[in-house]
Amino acid sequence: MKRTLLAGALALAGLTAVEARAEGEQPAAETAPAAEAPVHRFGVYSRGGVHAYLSNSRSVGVFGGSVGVRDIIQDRFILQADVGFLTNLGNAVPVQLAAGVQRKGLYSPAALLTLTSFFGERLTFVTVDHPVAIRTPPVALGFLLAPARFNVAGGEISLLEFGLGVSPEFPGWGVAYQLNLVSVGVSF
Amino acid sequence: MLLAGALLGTAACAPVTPLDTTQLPPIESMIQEIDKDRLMLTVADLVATHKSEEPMDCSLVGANGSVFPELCNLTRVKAGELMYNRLQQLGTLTMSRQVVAKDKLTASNVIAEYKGVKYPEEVVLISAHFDAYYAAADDNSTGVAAVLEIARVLSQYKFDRTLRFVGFDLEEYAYVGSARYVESLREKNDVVLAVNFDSLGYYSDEPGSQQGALGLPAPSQGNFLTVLGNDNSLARVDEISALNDAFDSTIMFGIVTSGLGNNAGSAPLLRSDHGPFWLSGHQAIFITDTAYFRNPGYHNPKDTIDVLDPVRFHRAVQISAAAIAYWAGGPR
Repeated sequence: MKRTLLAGALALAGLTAVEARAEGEQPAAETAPAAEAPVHRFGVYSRGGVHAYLSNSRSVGVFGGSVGVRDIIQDRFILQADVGFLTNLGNAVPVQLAAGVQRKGLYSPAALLTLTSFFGERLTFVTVDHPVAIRTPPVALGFLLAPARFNVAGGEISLLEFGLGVSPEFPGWGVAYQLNLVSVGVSF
Repeated sequence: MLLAGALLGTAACAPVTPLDTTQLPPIESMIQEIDKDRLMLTVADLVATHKSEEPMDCSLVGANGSVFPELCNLTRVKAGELMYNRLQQLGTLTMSRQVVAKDKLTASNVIAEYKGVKYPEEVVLISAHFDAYYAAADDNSTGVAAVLEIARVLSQYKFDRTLRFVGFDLEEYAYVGSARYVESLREKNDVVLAVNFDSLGYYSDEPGSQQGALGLPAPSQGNFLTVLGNDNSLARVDEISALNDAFDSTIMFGIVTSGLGNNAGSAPLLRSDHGPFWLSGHQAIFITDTAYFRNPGYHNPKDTIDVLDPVRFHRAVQISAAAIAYWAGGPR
Protein backbone atom coordinates (compact mmCIF):
# COMPACT_ATOMS: atom_id res chain seq x y z
CA MET A 1 0.00 0.00 0.00
CA LYS A 2 2.83 2.35 0.90
CA ARG A 3 4.42 1.67 -2.49
CA THR A 4 1.15 2.53 -4.22
CA LEU A 5 0.82 5.85 -2.39
CA LEU A 6 4.39 6.81 -3.16
CA ALA A 7 4.03 5.96 -6.82
CA GLY A 8 0.72 7.85 -6.93
CA ALA A 9 2.31 10.92 -5.39
CA LEU A 10 5.15 10.85 -7.90
CA ALA A 11 2.69 10.42 -10.73
CA LEU A 12 0.70 13.41 -9.51
CA ALA A 13 3.89 15.42 -9.37
CA GLY A 14 4.32 14.54 -13.01
CA LEU A 15 7.91 13.48 -12.55
CA THR A 16 7.53 9.73 -13.08
CA ALA A 17 5.75 7.51 -15.53
CA VAL A 18 2.15 6.50 -15.11
CA GLU A 19 3.14 3.32 -13.49
CA ALA A 20 1.33 3.70 -10.24
CA ARG A 21 -0.61 0.55 -10.00
CA ALA A 22 -2.44 -1.19 -7.25
CA GLU A 23 -0.43 -3.88 -5.57
CA GLY A 24 -0.74 -7.12 -7.41
CA GLU A 25 -1.65 -5.57 -10.73
CA GLN A 26 0.34 -7.05 -13.60
CA PRO A 27 2.79 -4.68 -15.30
CA ALA A 28 1.92 -4.00 -18.94
CA ALA A 29 5.27 -5.31 -20.09
CA GLU A 30 4.40 -8.72 -18.72
CA THR A 31 1.07 -8.91 -20.53
CA ALA A 32 2.02 -7.53 -23.94
CA PRO A 33 5.35 -7.02 -25.69
CA ALA A 34 6.12 -3.30 -25.96
CA ALA A 35 8.35 -1.59 -28.51
CA GLU A 36 11.75 -0.89 -27.04
CA ALA A 37 12.13 2.87 -26.49
CA PRO A 38 15.35 4.24 -27.96
CA VAL A 39 17.96 5.39 -25.46
CA HIS A 40 18.32 8.75 -27.20
CA ARG A 41 15.64 10.64 -29.05
CA PHE A 42 17.09 13.70 -30.70
CA GLY A 43 14.89 16.51 -31.82
CA VAL A 44 14.46 20.17 -32.47
CA TYR A 45 12.02 22.60 -30.93
CA SER A 46 10.82 26.15 -31.19
CA ARG A 47 9.00 28.35 -28.73
CA GLY A 48 7.73 31.88 -28.34
CA GLY A 49 6.57 34.18 -25.59
CA VAL A 50 7.97 36.54 -23.00
CA HIS A 51 11.52 36.31 -21.75
CA ALA A 52 13.09 39.16 -19.83
CA TYR A 53 15.88 39.82 -17.42
CA LEU A 54 15.21 42.65 -14.99
CA SER A 55 17.41 44.09 -12.27
CA ASN A 56 18.32 47.46 -10.80
CA SER A 57 21.27 47.68 -13.15
CA ARG A 58 19.88 46.43 -16.47
CA SER A 59 16.81 45.27 -18.35
CA VAL A 60 16.92 42.88 -21.30
CA GLY A 61 14.49 41.27 -23.70
CA VAL A 62 10.71 40.94 -23.31
CA PHE A 63 9.12 39.49 -26.49
CA GLY A 64 10.49 36.86 -28.85
CA GLY A 65 11.23 33.21 -29.46
CA SER A 66 13.90 30.55 -29.61
CA VAL A 67 14.91 27.48 -31.57
CA GLY A 68 16.87 24.64 -30.06
CA VAL A 69 18.03 21.06 -30.07
CA ARG A 70 16.98 18.45 -27.55
CA ASP A 71 17.97 14.94 -26.50
CA ILE A 72 15.43 12.89 -24.60
CA ILE A 73 17.20 10.02 -22.85
CA GLN A 74 15.29 6.85 -22.05
CA ASP A 75 12.06 8.80 -22.47
CA ARG A 76 12.75 10.36 -19.10
CA PHE A 77 15.65 12.78 -19.02
CA ILE A 78 15.91 15.93 -21.12
CA LEU A 79 18.99 17.82 -22.27
CA GLN A 80 18.38 20.84 -24.44
CA ALA A 81 19.99 24.02 -25.71
CA ASP A 82 18.44 26.90 -27.57
CA VAL A 83 19.17 30.33 -28.90
CA GLY A 84 16.62 33.01 -29.60
CA PHE A 85 15.82 36.56 -30.42
CA LEU A 86 14.13 39.04 -28.08
CA THR A 87 13.02 42.58 -28.69
CA ASN A 88 11.34 45.56 -27.00
CA LEU A 89 14.14 46.77 -24.72
CA GLY A 90 16.64 46.32 -27.55
CA ASN A 91 17.53 43.35 -29.72
CA ALA A 92 18.88 40.59 -27.52
CA VAL A 93 19.98 37.00 -28.04
CA PRO A 94 19.15 34.64 -25.17
CA VAL A 95 21.10 31.40 -24.99
CA GLN A 96 19.70 28.74 -22.69
CA LEU A 97 21.03 25.37 -21.60
CA ALA A 98 18.66 23.11 -19.68
CA ALA A 99 18.49 19.67 -18.15
CA GLY A 100 15.53 18.00 -16.51
CA VAL A 101 13.01 15.21 -16.40
CA GLN A 102 9.71 14.50 -18.06
CA ARG A 103 6.87 12.19 -17.34
CA LYS A 104 6.55 9.28 -19.74
CA GLY A 105 3.49 8.94 -21.87
CA LEU A 106 1.08 11.15 -23.77
CA TYR A 107 0.81 13.69 -20.98
CA SER A 108 4.43 14.51 -20.31
CA PRO A 109 4.94 17.51 -18.04
CA ALA A 110 8.55 18.42 -17.50
CA ALA A 111 10.75 20.29 -15.07
CA LEU A 112 14.17 21.59 -16.03
CA LEU A 113 17.06 23.40 -14.48
CA THR A 114 18.17 26.26 -16.72
CA LEU A 115 21.25 28.32 -17.31
CA THR A 116 20.47 31.38 -19.41
CA SER A 117 22.58 34.21 -20.71
CA PHE A 118 21.33 37.30 -22.52
CA PHE A 119 23.65 38.78 -25.13
CA GLY A 120 23.22 41.93 -27.14
CA GLU A 121 21.25 45.08 -26.55
CA ARG A 122 19.70 46.08 -23.24
CA LEU A 123 18.88 49.02 -21.00
CA THR A 124 21.63 49.70 -18.49
CA PHE A 125 21.36 51.78 -15.33
CA VAL A 126 24.19 53.68 -13.68
CA THR A 127 23.45 54.00 -9.98
CA VAL A 128 25.21 54.43 -6.66
CA ASP A 129 25.54 50.64 -6.42
CA HIS A 130 26.66 50.35 -10.04
CA PRO A 131 28.57 53.54 -10.83
CA VAL A 132 29.73 52.18 -14.19
CA ALA A 133 27.40 50.69 -16.79
CA ILE A 134 27.72 46.89 -16.71
CA ARG A 135 28.97 45.60 -20.05
CA THR A 136 28.94 41.84 -19.48
CA PRO A 137 25.84 39.74 -20.15
CA PRO A 138 23.90 38.36 -17.17
CA VAL A 139 23.92 34.59 -16.58
CA ALA A 140 20.85 33.37 -14.73
CA LEU A 141 20.46 30.01 -13.00
CA GLY A 142 16.87 28.90 -12.63
CA PHE A 143 14.14 26.50 -13.55
CA LEU A 144 11.55 26.00 -16.24
CA LEU A 145 8.28 24.17 -15.68
CA ALA A 146 6.14 22.77 -18.47
CA PRO A 147 2.88 21.63 -16.81
CA ALA A 148 0.86 21.33 -20.02
CA ARG A 149 3.20 19.33 -22.24
CA PHE A 150 2.18 16.46 -24.48
CA ASN A 151 4.02 13.82 -26.52
CA VAL A 152 2.17 13.02 -29.71
CA ALA A 153 3.55 10.72 -32.39
CA GLY A 154 7.17 11.70 -31.99
CA GLY A 155 6.44 15.35 -31.43
CA GLU A 156 5.95 17.51 -28.38
CA ILE A 157 3.67 20.43 -27.78
CA SER A 158 3.72 22.46 -24.64
CA LEU A 159 1.57 25.36 -23.56
CA LEU A 160 2.23 28.03 -20.96
CA GLU A 161 5.68 27.07 -19.77
CA PHE A 162 7.00 29.32 -17.05
CA GLY A 163 10.37 29.80 -15.49
CA LEU A 164 12.42 31.95 -13.18
CA GLY A 165 16.11 32.46 -12.76
CA VAL A 166 18.47 34.62 -10.78
CA SER A 167 21.80 36.20 -11.62
CA PRO A 168 24.20 37.98 -9.28
CA GLU A 169 24.70 41.68 -9.95
CA PHE A 170 27.44 42.45 -7.42
CA PRO A 171 25.72 43.87 -5.45
CA GLY A 172 22.18 42.56 -5.63
CA TRP A 173 20.39 40.12 -7.88
CA GLY A 174 18.55 40.20 -11.12
CA VAL A 175 15.63 37.98 -12.04
CA ALA A 176 15.00 36.28 -15.39
CA TYR A 177 11.30 35.79 -16.14
CA GLN A 178 10.20 33.33 -18.79
CA LEU A 179 6.71 32.62 -20.05
CA ASN A 180 6.56 30.51 -23.19
CA LEU A 181 3.09 30.69 -24.67
CA VAL A 182 3.71 27.69 -26.86
CA SER A 183 6.58 25.33 -27.56
CA VAL A 184 6.57 22.81 -30.36
CA GLY A 185 9.15 20.06 -30.92
CA VAL A 186 9.83 17.14 -33.21
CA SER A 187 11.92 14.09 -32.28
CA PHE A 188 13.71 11.81 -34.73
CA MET B 1 22.91 32.67 -34.07
CA LEU B 2 25.45 31.64 -31.42
CA LEU B 3 28.09 33.58 -33.32
CA ALA B 4 25.81 36.59 -33.47
CA GLY B 5 25.22 36.30 -29.75
CA ALA B 6 28.91 36.05 -29.04
CA LEU B 7 29.63 39.09 -31.19
CA LEU B 8 26.90 41.11 -29.55
CA GLY B 9 28.19 40.04 -26.16
CA THR B 10 31.70 41.12 -27.08
CA ALA B 11 30.41 44.49 -28.18
CA ALA B 12 28.78 44.89 -24.80
CA CYS B 13 32.13 44.36 -23.06
CA ALA B 14 33.88 47.49 -24.33
CA PRO B 15 36.50 48.78 -21.85
CA VAL B 16 35.82 51.71 -19.55
CA THR B 17 38.10 54.74 -19.96
CA PRO B 18 39.03 56.23 -16.57
CA LEU B 19 38.63 59.97 -15.95
CA ASP B 20 41.55 62.26 -16.73
CA THR B 21 41.93 63.56 -13.18
CA THR B 22 44.32 66.35 -14.16
CA GLN B 23 41.33 68.19 -15.62
CA LEU B 24 39.33 68.11 -12.41
CA PRO B 25 40.80 70.92 -10.22
CA PRO B 26 40.20 73.73 -12.75
CA ILE B 27 36.75 72.32 -13.53
CA GLU B 28 35.84 72.24 -9.84
CA SER B 29 36.94 75.83 -9.47
CA MET B 30 35.03 76.92 -12.57
CA ILE B 31 31.68 75.41 -11.61
CA GLN B 32 31.64 77.45 -8.40
CA GLU B 33 30.81 80.38 -10.65
CA ILE B 34 27.46 78.86 -11.61
CA ASP B 35 25.12 81.24 -9.79
CA LYS B 36 21.99 79.82 -8.17
CA ASP B 37 20.21 83.16 -7.84
CA ARG B 38 20.97 84.11 -11.41
CA LEU B 39 19.59 80.76 -12.59
CA MET B 40 16.31 81.31 -10.76
CA LEU B 41 16.05 84.91 -11.96
CA THR B 42 16.47 83.73 -15.54
CA VAL B 43 13.75 81.13 -15.00
CA ALA B 44 11.49 83.88 -13.61
CA ASP B 45 12.19 86.06 -16.64
CA LEU B 46 11.40 83.22 -19.02
CA VAL B 47 8.18 82.36 -17.19
CA ALA B 48 7.11 86.01 -17.38
CA THR B 49 7.96 86.01 -21.07
CA HIS B 50 5.86 82.93 -21.78
CA LYS B 51 2.95 84.35 -19.79
CA SER B 52 3.07 87.63 -21.69
CA GLU B 53 2.79 86.02 -25.12
CA GLU B 54 -0.32 85.06 -27.03
CA PRO B 55 -0.22 81.28 -27.63
CA MET B 56 0.57 80.06 -31.10
CA ASP B 57 -2.33 79.50 -33.47
CA CYS B 58 -3.15 75.84 -33.00
CA SER B 59 -5.48 75.39 -35.95
CA LEU B 60 -2.72 73.29 -37.53
CA VAL B 61 -3.28 70.50 -35.03
CA GLY B 62 -7.01 70.33 -35.78
CA ALA B 63 -9.11 68.26 -33.40
CA ASN B 64 -6.03 67.30 -31.40
CA GLY B 65 -6.25 70.72 -29.78
CA SER B 66 -9.38 69.72 -27.87
CA VAL B 67 -7.94 66.34 -26.84
CA PHE B 68 -4.58 67.81 -25.82
CA PRO B 69 -5.29 71.39 -24.70
CA GLU B 70 -1.59 72.09 -24.17
CA LEU B 71 -1.19 72.13 -27.95
CA CYS B 72 -3.15 75.37 -27.97
CA ASN B 73 -1.06 76.91 -25.18
CA LEU B 74 2.36 76.96 -26.81
CA THR B 75 4.49 80.10 -26.70
CA ARG B 76 7.91 80.51 -28.27
CA VAL B 77 8.69 83.80 -29.97
CA LYS B 78 9.58 85.96 -26.98
CA ALA B 79 11.49 83.20 -25.20
CA GLY B 80 13.57 82.67 -28.34
CA GLU B 81 14.30 86.40 -28.48
CA LEU B 82 15.26 86.46 -24.81
CA MET B 83 17.63 83.53 -25.29
CA TYR B 84 19.21 85.17 -28.34
CA ASN B 85 19.64 88.53 -26.62
CA ARG B 86 21.14 87.08 -23.44
CA LEU B 87 23.70 85.05 -25.40
CA GLN B 88 24.53 88.05 -27.58
CA GLN B 89 25.06 90.23 -24.51
CA LEU B 90 27.94 87.99 -23.44
CA GLY B 91 29.87 89.61 -26.25
CA THR B 92 32.13 86.67 -27.03
CA LEU B 93 29.81 84.41 -29.01
CA THR B 94 29.10 84.30 -32.73
CA MET B 95 25.33 84.59 -33.06
CA SER B 96 22.92 83.32 -35.70
CA ARG B 97 19.40 82.01 -36.17
CA GLN B 98 18.64 78.99 -38.27
CA VAL B 99 15.24 79.52 -39.85
CA VAL B 100 13.74 76.59 -41.74
CA ALA B 101 10.26 76.88 -43.24
CA LYS B 102 8.78 73.56 -44.24
CA ASP B 103 5.49 71.68 -44.01
CA LYS B 104 3.45 74.63 -42.68
CA LEU B 105 5.78 75.16 -39.70
CA THR B 106 8.70 77.55 -39.54
CA ALA B 107 11.28 76.66 -36.93
CA SER B 108 13.74 79.33 -35.82
CA ASN B 109 16.62 77.93 -33.78
CA VAL B 110 18.96 80.15 -31.77
CA ILE B 111 22.67 79.42 -32.27
CA ALA B 112 25.65 80.90 -30.43
CA GLU B 113 29.16 79.63 -30.98
CA TYR B 114 32.33 79.91 -28.93
CA LYS B 115 35.39 78.76 -30.89
CA GLY B 116 37.71 76.12 -29.51
CA VAL B 117 41.43 76.82 -29.47
CA LYS B 118 42.84 73.39 -30.33
CA TYR B 119 40.15 71.51 -32.24
CA PRO B 120 37.80 74.27 -33.41
CA GLU B 121 36.31 71.94 -36.03
CA GLU B 122 34.99 69.65 -33.26
CA VAL B 123 31.79 70.97 -31.69
CA VAL B 124 30.22 70.17 -28.33
CA LEU B 125 26.61 71.28 -28.68
CA ILE B 126 24.64 72.38 -25.59
CA SER B 127 20.91 72.72 -26.13
CA ALA B 128 17.47 73.31 -24.65
CA HIS B 129 14.15 74.02 -26.29
CA PHE B 130 12.66 77.45 -25.67
CA ASP B 131 9.13 76.78 -26.92
CA ALA B 132 6.89 75.74 -24.04
CA TYR B 133 3.38 75.16 -22.75
CA TYR B 134 1.69 77.40 -20.16
CA ALA B 135 4.06 79.06 -17.65
CA ALA B 136 6.72 76.49 -18.48
CA ALA B 137 8.83 76.88 -15.34
CA ASP B 138 10.32 73.39 -15.32
CA ASP B 139 9.65 72.45 -18.95
CA ASN B 140 11.69 74.15 -20.18
CA SER B 141 12.67 77.49 -18.63
CA THR B 142 15.05 75.56 -16.39
CA GLY B 143 16.75 74.02 -19.43
CA VAL B 144 17.09 77.38 -21.18
CA ALA B 145 18.38 79.01 -17.99
CA ALA B 146 20.96 76.22 -17.69
CA VAL B 147 22.21 76.87 -21.24
CA LEU B 148 22.43 80.62 -20.60
CA GLU B 149 24.27 80.23 -17.29
CA ILE B 150 26.69 77.65 -18.65
CA ALA B 151 27.37 79.91 -21.64
CA ARG B 152 28.02 82.84 -19.31
CA VAL B 153 30.51 80.96 -17.17
CA LEU B 154 32.27 78.84 -19.79
CA SER B 155 32.73 81.73 -22.22
CA GLN B 156 35.13 83.26 -19.70
CA TYR B 157 37.56 80.39 -20.34
CA LYS B 158 39.23 78.68 -23.29
CA PHE B 159 38.44 75.13 -24.44
CA ASP B 160 40.01 72.76 -26.93
CA ARG B 161 36.74 72.19 -28.74
CA THR B 162 34.11 74.63 -29.94
CA LEU B 163 31.07 75.15 -27.73
CA ARG B 164 27.82 75.70 -29.62
CA PHE B 165 24.86 76.85 -27.51
CA VAL B 166 21.56 76.14 -29.23
CA GLY B 167 17.97 76.98 -28.40
CA PHE B 168 15.69 74.62 -30.27
CA ASP B 169 12.31 75.77 -31.48
CA LEU B 170 9.15 73.64 -31.65
CA GLU B 171 10.36 70.73 -29.55
CA GLU B 172 6.83 70.38 -28.23
CA TYR B 173 5.59 69.87 -31.79
CA ALA B 174 7.51 66.64 -32.40
CA TYR B 175 11.07 68.02 -32.19
CA VAL B 176 10.73 70.07 -35.36
CA GLY B 177 13.58 72.47 -34.58
CA SER B 178 16.15 69.84 -33.58
CA ALA B 179 15.15 67.49 -36.42
CA ARG B 180 15.75 70.25 -38.96
CA TYR B 181 19.01 71.19 -37.29
CA VAL B 182 20.22 67.59 -37.46
CA GLU B 183 19.19 67.47 -41.13
CA SER B 184 21.45 70.45 -41.74
CA LEU B 185 24.39 68.53 -40.26
CA ARG B 186 24.40 66.36 -43.38
CA GLU B 187 26.17 69.24 -45.14
CA LYS B 188 28.74 69.79 -42.41
CA ASN B 189 28.82 67.27 -39.59
CA ASP B 190 30.99 68.89 -36.96
CA VAL B 191 29.07 67.93 -33.81
CA VAL B 192 31.04 65.38 -31.80
CA LEU B 193 28.66 65.45 -28.84
CA ALA B 194 25.28 66.99 -28.07
CA VAL B 195 24.17 67.69 -24.48
CA ASN B 196 20.46 68.40 -24.22
CA PHE B 197 18.61 69.85 -21.22
CA ASP B 198 14.89 69.42 -20.79
CA SER B 199 13.29 69.96 -17.35
CA LEU B 200 15.93 70.26 -14.65
CA GLY B 201 14.24 71.81 -11.63
CA TYR B 202 11.57 69.53 -10.13
CA TYR B 203 12.56 67.22 -7.26
CA SER B 204 10.68 65.49 -4.44
CA ASP B 205 11.79 63.48 -1.42
CA GLU B 206 8.32 61.96 -1.02
CA PRO B 207 8.41 58.14 -1.29
CA GLY B 208 6.49 57.16 -4.40
CA SER B 209 7.00 60.52 -6.06
CA GLN B 210 8.99 58.93 -8.89
CA GLN B 211 7.30 56.75 -11.47
CA GLY B 212 8.96 54.03 -13.52
CA ALA B 213 7.82 51.58 -16.15
CA LEU B 214 8.35 47.95 -17.15
CA GLY B 215 12.06 47.60 -17.71
CA LEU B 216 12.63 51.13 -16.48
CA PRO B 217 13.09 50.80 -12.72
CA ALA B 218 13.60 53.98 -10.74
CA PRO B 219 14.19 54.91 -7.13
CA SER B 220 10.98 55.65 -5.23
CA GLN B 221 11.94 59.24 -4.38
CA GLY B 222 12.07 61.70 -7.25
CA ASN B 223 15.10 63.49 -5.86
CA PHE B 224 17.74 62.56 -8.45
CA LEU B 225 19.05 63.92 -11.71
CA THR B 226 18.81 61.57 -14.69
CA VAL B 227 21.39 61.33 -17.44
CA LEU B 228 20.47 59.33 -20.53
CA GLY B 229 22.68 58.03 -23.27
CA ASN B 230 22.56 55.37 -25.93
CA ASP B 231 25.21 52.86 -26.95
CA ASN B 232 27.06 55.55 -28.91
CA SER B 233 27.32 57.75 -25.83
CA LEU B 234 27.63 55.10 -23.13
CA ALA B 235 31.12 56.27 -22.14
CA ARG B 236 29.81 59.81 -21.62
CA VAL B 237 27.23 58.55 -19.13
CA ASP B 238 29.99 56.77 -17.21
CA GLU B 239 32.10 59.93 -17.28
CA ILE B 240 29.45 62.31 -15.98
CA SER B 241 28.61 59.77 -13.29
CA ALA B 242 32.30 59.63 -12.28
CA LEU B 243 32.51 63.44 -12.29
CA ASN B 244 29.42 63.57 -10.11
CA ASP B 245 31.08 61.20 -7.65
CA ALA B 246 34.33 63.19 -7.74
CA PHE B 247 32.54 66.47 -6.99
CA ASP B 248 29.86 64.93 -4.75
CA SER B 249 27.33 67.08 -6.60
CA THR B 250 23.94 65.43 -6.56
CA ILE B 251 22.08 62.14 -6.65
CA MET B 252 22.44 60.87 -10.20
CA PHE B 253 20.72 58.05 -12.07
CA GLY B 254 22.16 57.08 -15.43
CA ILE B 255 20.30 55.20 -18.14
CA VAL B 256 21.92 53.80 -21.25
CA THR B 257 19.50 52.62 -23.89
CA SER B 258 20.60 50.08 -26.43
CA GLY B 259 21.47 50.67 -30.04
CA LEU B 260 20.41 54.07 -31.27
CA GLY B 261 17.69 54.14 -28.62
CA ASN B 262 14.74 53.53 -30.93
CA ASN B 263 13.36 50.42 -29.23
CA ALA B 264 9.66 50.13 -28.46
CA GLY B 265 10.22 49.54 -24.75
CA SER B 266 12.46 52.55 -24.32
CA ALA B 267 10.45 54.96 -26.47
CA PRO B 268 9.87 57.40 -23.56
CA LEU B 269 13.62 57.94 -23.42
CA LEU B 270 13.61 59.46 -26.91
CA ARG B 271 11.23 62.25 -26.04
CA SER B 272 13.30 65.40 -26.34
CA ASP B 273 15.72 67.12 -28.71
CA HIS B 274 18.47 64.54 -28.24
CA GLY B 275 16.23 62.10 -30.14
CA PRO B 276 17.08 63.32 -33.67
CA PHE B 277 20.77 63.23 -32.73
CA TRP B 278 20.53 59.65 -31.48
CA LEU B 279 18.60 58.49 -34.53
CA SER B 280 21.17 60.00 -36.88
CA GLY B 281 24.03 58.22 -35.10
CA HIS B 282 25.43 61.18 -33.16
CA GLN B 283 26.70 60.99 -29.62
CA ALA B 284 24.13 62.75 -27.44
CA ILE B 285 23.41 62.99 -23.74
CA PHE B 286 20.04 63.96 -22.29
CA ILE B 287 19.97 65.54 -18.80
CA THR B 288 16.58 65.81 -17.10
CA ASP B 289 14.58 65.55 -13.88
CA THR B 290 12.50 62.95 -15.81
CA ALA B 291 9.60 65.39 -16.41
CA TYR B 292 6.28 63.50 -16.55
CA PHE B 293 7.68 60.52 -14.67
CA ARG B 294 7.77 62.86 -11.66
CA ASN B 295 6.34 66.32 -12.17
CA PRO B 296 2.53 66.64 -11.76
CA GLY B 297 2.78 70.00 -13.53
CA TYR B 298 4.03 68.46 -16.76
CA HIS B 299 2.33 70.13 -19.73
CA ASN B 300 -0.35 71.77 -17.64
CA PRO B 301 -0.93 75.08 -15.83
CA LYS B 302 0.71 73.77 -12.64
CA ASP B 303 4.20 74.00 -14.13
CA THR B 304 5.02 77.09 -12.05
CA ILE B 305 8.21 78.46 -10.56
CA ASP B 306 7.15 77.97 -6.93
CA VAL B 307 7.39 74.16 -7.20
CA LEU B 308 11.02 74.17 -8.36
CA ASP B 309 13.90 73.19 -6.09
CA PRO B 310 16.57 75.90 -6.57
CA VAL B 311 19.30 74.03 -4.67
CA ARG B 312 19.06 70.79 -6.64
CA PHE B 313 18.52 72.70 -9.87
CA HIS B 314 21.74 74.60 -9.17
CA ARG B 315 23.64 71.35 -8.52
CA ALA B 316 22.27 69.86 -11.72
CA VAL B 317 23.60 72.80 -13.72
CA GLN B 318 26.95 72.67 -11.91
CA ILE B 319 27.59 69.02 -12.69
CA SER B 320 26.38 69.54 -16.26
CA ALA B 321 28.81 72.43 -16.68
CA ALA B 322 31.60 70.27 -15.27
CA ALA B 323 30.88 67.49 -17.75
CA ILE B 324 30.64 69.90 -20.71
CA ALA B 325 33.97 71.48 -19.75
CA TYR B 326 35.53 68.01 -19.42
CA TRP B 327 34.25 66.93 -22.84
CA ALA B 328 35.25 70.22 -24.47
CA GLY B 329 38.82 69.89 -23.17
CA GLY B 330 39.18 72.65 -20.62
CA PRO B 331 38.95 75.03 -19.00
CA ARG B 332 42.24 76.77 -19.82
